[in-house]
Amino acid sequence: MSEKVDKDHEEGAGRSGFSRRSFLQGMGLAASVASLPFNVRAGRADEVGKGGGVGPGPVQMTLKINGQAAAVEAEPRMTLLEVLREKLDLTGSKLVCDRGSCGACTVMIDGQSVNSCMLLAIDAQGKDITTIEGLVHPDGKLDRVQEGFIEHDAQQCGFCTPGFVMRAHGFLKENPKPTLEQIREGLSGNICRCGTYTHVFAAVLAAAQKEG
Amino acid sequence: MATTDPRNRVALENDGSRVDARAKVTGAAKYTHDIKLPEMMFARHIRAPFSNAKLVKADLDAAKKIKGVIEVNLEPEGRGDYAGQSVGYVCAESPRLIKDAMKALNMEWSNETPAVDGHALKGELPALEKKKPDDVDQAELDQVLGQAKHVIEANYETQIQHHVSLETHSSVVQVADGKIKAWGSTQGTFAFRDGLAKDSKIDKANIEVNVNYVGGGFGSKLMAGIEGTLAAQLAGKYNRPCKVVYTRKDESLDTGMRPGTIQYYKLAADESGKILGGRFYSWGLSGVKNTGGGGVKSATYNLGKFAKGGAEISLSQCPARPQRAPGWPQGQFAMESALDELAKACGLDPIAFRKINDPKTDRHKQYDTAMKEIGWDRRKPDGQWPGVVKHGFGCGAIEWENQMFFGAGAEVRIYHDGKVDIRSGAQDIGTGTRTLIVDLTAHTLGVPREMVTGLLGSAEYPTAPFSGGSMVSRSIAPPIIQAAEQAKTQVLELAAKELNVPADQLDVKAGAIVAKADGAKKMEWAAACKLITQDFLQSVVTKADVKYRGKGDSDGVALAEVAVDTETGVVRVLKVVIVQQCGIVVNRKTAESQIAGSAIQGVGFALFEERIMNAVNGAHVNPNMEWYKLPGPVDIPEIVPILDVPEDATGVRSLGEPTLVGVPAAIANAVANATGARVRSLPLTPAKVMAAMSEKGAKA
Repeated sequence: MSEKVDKDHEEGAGRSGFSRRSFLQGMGLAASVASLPFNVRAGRADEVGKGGGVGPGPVQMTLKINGQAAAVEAEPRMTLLEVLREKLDLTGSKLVCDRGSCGACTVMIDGQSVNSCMLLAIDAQGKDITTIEGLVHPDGKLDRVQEGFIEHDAQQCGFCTPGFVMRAHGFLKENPKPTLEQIREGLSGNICRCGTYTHVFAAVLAAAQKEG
Repeated sequence: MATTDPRNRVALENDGSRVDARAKVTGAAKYTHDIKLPEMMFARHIRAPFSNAKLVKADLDAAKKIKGVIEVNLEPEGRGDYAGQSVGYVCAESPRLIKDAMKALNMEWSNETPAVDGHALKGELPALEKKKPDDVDQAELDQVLGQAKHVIEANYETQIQHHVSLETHSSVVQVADGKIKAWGSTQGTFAFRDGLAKDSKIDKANIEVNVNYVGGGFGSKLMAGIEGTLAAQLAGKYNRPCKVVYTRKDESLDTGMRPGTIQYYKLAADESGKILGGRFYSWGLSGVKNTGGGGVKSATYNLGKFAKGGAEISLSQCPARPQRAPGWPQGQFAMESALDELAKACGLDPIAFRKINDPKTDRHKQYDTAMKEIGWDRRKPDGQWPGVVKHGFGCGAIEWENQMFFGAGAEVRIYHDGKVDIRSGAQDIGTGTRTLIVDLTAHTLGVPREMVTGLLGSAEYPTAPFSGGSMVSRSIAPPIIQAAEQAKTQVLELAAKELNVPADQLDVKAGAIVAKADGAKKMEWAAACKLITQDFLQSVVTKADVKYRGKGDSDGVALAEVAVDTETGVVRVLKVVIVQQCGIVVNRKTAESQIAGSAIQGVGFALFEERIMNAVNGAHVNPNMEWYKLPGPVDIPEIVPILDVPEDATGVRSLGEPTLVGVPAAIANAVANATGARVRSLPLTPAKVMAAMSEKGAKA
């Protein structure tokens, strides 16, 4: 995970006027807060600084997802995962633990893998978001990680699979030639119940042999 | 690292990838959680917070007046026998609004009577009821136990385990014109439909169910469940589709569990290590008004004069449900631990001791294979591995009978372009069933697997069992093979006229129809299929001939190597070898995935997983995924799956559940070997390992 620390985040509230810390506390989780690998930036500049912030009702937001701008109306309290699934019908990212402990909702944000259940959609504006749906090349060719997962049967029920694929994709960007031990640690935020980890490791090792 | 073992003979010469792998790795696979319909409502149950709970007050008005909340239904004097029991529901326009309404209810509950805590009952266990009368003369047995050279006696405990399906229990139901269309995260396509029919009073024929992708089940999703009932009820009432999705907490509280056990063994052996007799009692720690607990005593060993009994204890928790090999991993943990203790008393190597008492010589050979693979010769006497981090080796036998066959059918359709589909009402919960039906069909017809589409998860397709007892593959394989054989014969008859060769002199190889005697006489499969006169050629089997069944048991062995840090008590499983007898291997990758899953779930059961309840009020302490620990990537051992396929195997046998049976026992025995101090209670937490070592040290 990134070591980046954002000033706004440190102060407890982003310029969007929302306190991420209280949001996370509201969900009963402390452990993952310190390592959130993204910057906190404004939601809508014109809504900020007027005293009351935005919400609680739905507000307009624009998200850049898989290379395209998506205009959505959503409550500021909604997580990116909720907006992806409920508003945009991008259901490849899964809701499993709802509190950052399983990785099934992993997406890429500005080149880093992030749990989308731990990020407010409004704070994801202005960032490059890639979901599992956007990982396939426009010509239909799969990403090398996806190919590895198919070849090594790195899925059983498949519910954790999109999250693992996204995490592995992000991991290989930072560690192009990993050892098995590095893969274990790099993927350790993700959980599979069927028990297909050894096949996931093999898939990621195989993907690392190919050009990204 | 290889994921497939070249020793694993593939009877169908098929090593293809899972047929729905692309859908799964691209996020295209639509699970019940992913279904979205116009005008869809959302609903969830309101649940009691602890056991024996009585609702004191709730602000119904505050919840109802939230804009977008459609209905709040809560008994004013609601009672819950256990934490998580449903006492009402909220229906709203979005999942977030359900949360708002639940919060606005601001419920207060009183706790009338304390919970029943199973492990606190130790020392005052309820009287044993014999499950069936033993014909063992107790006085004679006492004499055997009294005079034997070696006797061991101990209690073994196992925890309550959750299924933790990643896709929580969920249903989407639409009611229109007296017909139901439903999606369900279920292990039973037909059970789901029948449950909806019962609830809605709508005829089965008018219910369409879709069970295409299921995010795990492990035994917890065998029925329509109250999620299906609620979705159907509200969809009918409001004439709008309704979606019910359990939260992670709901899933932890009220979708069943593997019951806990306390198991007593007394075993006696003579000087040579032959077991002379013993006693076994099992107490099952199950849920409210519920049975199904206790450990299975397997028939692995000749135990001489042996008496057994058991009793059920109802705890203040949700009722149990079957979980992967119900009763078996916990039963085998107790039995194999007791056997290791007796082997030690006899001064024998654990596997040498087992060979004396295990009549199945096939398993003796499996031990030899597994011992070589894991390096059993590196095993030191208990606690003698040098250094702080001590390695240990242990074993556990796998016993599984393939007795039950569920009535199942199959339908093969062949179209004019040569494409084929195979229809079965089975469901694929991650087991690879869709891949199995495609590969069996393609192999039987002699066409490339790419020409075959597997259709399942609909009750309009031929009958198939629910995913339980590892019955699906071995029950649906016979009708699939038979239906495909019949369809092949029909296509060959069409080709026979064209080639002027009798149909029984033709065969299909790699998608071409060839005369057996004259390779020059041939035609493409697709060309023959053009001659089909109907819309499509159809072959239906409703009851298969018994000759297609897989015969024999699915026995095996599991061996584990562990490393125990004797300064912290932390256990790491380094390697698990499973040698598993099975029938023909239809698809090697998915078969090996089943074994890997068993090894890993076995690690979870042995080391980490445990439902923790508040002993006073029965609240669930860890109903989530950070405090209920599942094995993660760093906890995973090297896994060696060895499929032991008899040369004469013809049919399909069980695989998914048996492979789990011996794993926790092997790990526990390996830990005892490493430390020299036996922990008789799962999970093997660092605290228990340290406590056992200090107790041992104190005695020494």
